[in-house]
Amino acid sequence: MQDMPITILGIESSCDETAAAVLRRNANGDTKVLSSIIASQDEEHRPYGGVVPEIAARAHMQKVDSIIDQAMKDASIDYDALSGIAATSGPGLIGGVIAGLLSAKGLAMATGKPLIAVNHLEGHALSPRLSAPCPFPYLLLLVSGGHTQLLAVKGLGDYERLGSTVDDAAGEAFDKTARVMTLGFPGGPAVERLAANGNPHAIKLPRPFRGKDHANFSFAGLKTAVARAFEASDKSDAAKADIAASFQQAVCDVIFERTSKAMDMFTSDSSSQAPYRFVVAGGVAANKAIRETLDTLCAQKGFTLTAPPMKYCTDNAAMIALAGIEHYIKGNFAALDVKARPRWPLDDKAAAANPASGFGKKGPKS
Amino acid sequence: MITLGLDTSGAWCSAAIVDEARLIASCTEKIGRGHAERLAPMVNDLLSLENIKAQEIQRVAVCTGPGSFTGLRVALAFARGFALPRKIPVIGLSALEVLAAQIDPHQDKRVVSVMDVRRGQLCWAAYDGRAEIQTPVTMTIPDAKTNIKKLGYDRLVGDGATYFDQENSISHISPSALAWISMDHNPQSRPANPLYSRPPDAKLPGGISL
Repeated sequence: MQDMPITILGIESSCDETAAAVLRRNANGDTKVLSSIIASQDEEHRPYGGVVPEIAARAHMQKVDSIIDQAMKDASIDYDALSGIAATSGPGLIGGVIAGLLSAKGLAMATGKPLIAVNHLEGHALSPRLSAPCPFPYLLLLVSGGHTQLLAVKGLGDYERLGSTVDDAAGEAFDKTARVMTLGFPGGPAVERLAANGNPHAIKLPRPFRGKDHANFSFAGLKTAVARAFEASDKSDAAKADIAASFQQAVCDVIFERTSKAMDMFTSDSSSQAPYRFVVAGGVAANKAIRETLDTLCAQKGFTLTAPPMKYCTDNAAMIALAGIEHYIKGNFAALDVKARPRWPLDDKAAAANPASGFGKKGPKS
Repeated sequence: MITLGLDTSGAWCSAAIVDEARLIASCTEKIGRGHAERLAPMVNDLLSLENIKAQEIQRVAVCTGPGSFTGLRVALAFARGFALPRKIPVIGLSALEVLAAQIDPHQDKRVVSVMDVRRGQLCWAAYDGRAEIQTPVTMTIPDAKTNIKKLGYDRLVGDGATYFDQENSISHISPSALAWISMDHNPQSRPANPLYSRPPDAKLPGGISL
């Protein structure tokens, strides 16, 4: 037990949101978000229909210090009052990670406070605990523009990969579907809006890995099938709506079936027992059809569904500060030479032994 | 005024601590890659070696480029973070300006600084003593040659000098020179913003490049 409050500044810059937040954990264990600022770069990336790494890095560089300062002002605390500084050090787009991490190194040196290097995925894994009690263990579906993974979250630093995409993330498939039909960026909301007017059974699309005895995902083939279907269509608004609806239905079916497999794996593990908890995080969790799919699945499988509020579901710095608090308590501080890592799987062992996606110089992605 | 000078824009990782009158400590290492790991420990070592507290630093001077986009952001992000708690000034100076001052310490000559920014392009600027008579500009090698010859110069400096059949006499930015030059400037005249030699590589849908 701690007797002093712990106050941590969190910094996030691994994709296309520049974010900073201040969290305080009081001696009684309560955690409060004192401030949380998120600056989106959607405008900068919109013309390209996807996140352009160098554009992202430039935008982070341009505003990361003012976002940090704004978070401190909103929290009404002085830099000297911080216990430590936590920053995402990976995985992510390296130019952006470096901008955030190096600001944190500068801050840590100027204040003499410890630096905490946080895994962005661990931030997501802990994010349900920002808004409600969520005891370990739980099954996590992280589904965003950069990641699609199923993890058994057993404790701080104890994560077991049950499934992962072997190619694209689900959010990438939404972005690419939107780009093929020139619906705009980010693709998720655009596809969802259009899907509301379409017939989800109009176009036959694949359900990759259906029936397979693992919980991995694949979205690359689905994306290609969408592109073909659009080419073959009359490209009318009605055809676009049908393709969007059919695509969204395919993603829902895949998530339902693959997650169901992971739930079986989770409940057969002797370390987990009822009541079983299921958490969904990541930007794609904003999709209402996917939420409803997961509601149905959880009801069938006897899991309770927790989804953090949207502001903590997408990329944010509050989750980085929360992971920072947990590591601060354990004394897990980073040296000043800590690396920015483009890849950093949460389940290092599984990723090294049997990479689900990503190989080569940067190492396995998951 | 105790000033910290930082450069991570090229193959070198460099830091120096100076005051008006003297060089307190300095370190320059040719590392090629890995500036994001090396810079902070380097600054920390300089401070502890000289028994200076981070809180005693009153100003930071950073090289803004041209150079590696990722590399130049290392020192800029570090400097901006370092400056936040006490709101100390951060001054950004281009490599072109610093190299010109290094080759012309009395600042009484016309100096052209020219750097090879790859893809057949040179980034250059010109100085008459202290005055910047040509702000940093990127153009093709033939265009740069024509423009620079037309302008004329007493000294030519930078790794682009080889295109003018000259040896490059100064291999890297001196972090102490950078720190001293910054004392003549303020964050308004020399903001700590990156000097990118070209726009990001990004293609608009349909193959149109930015």
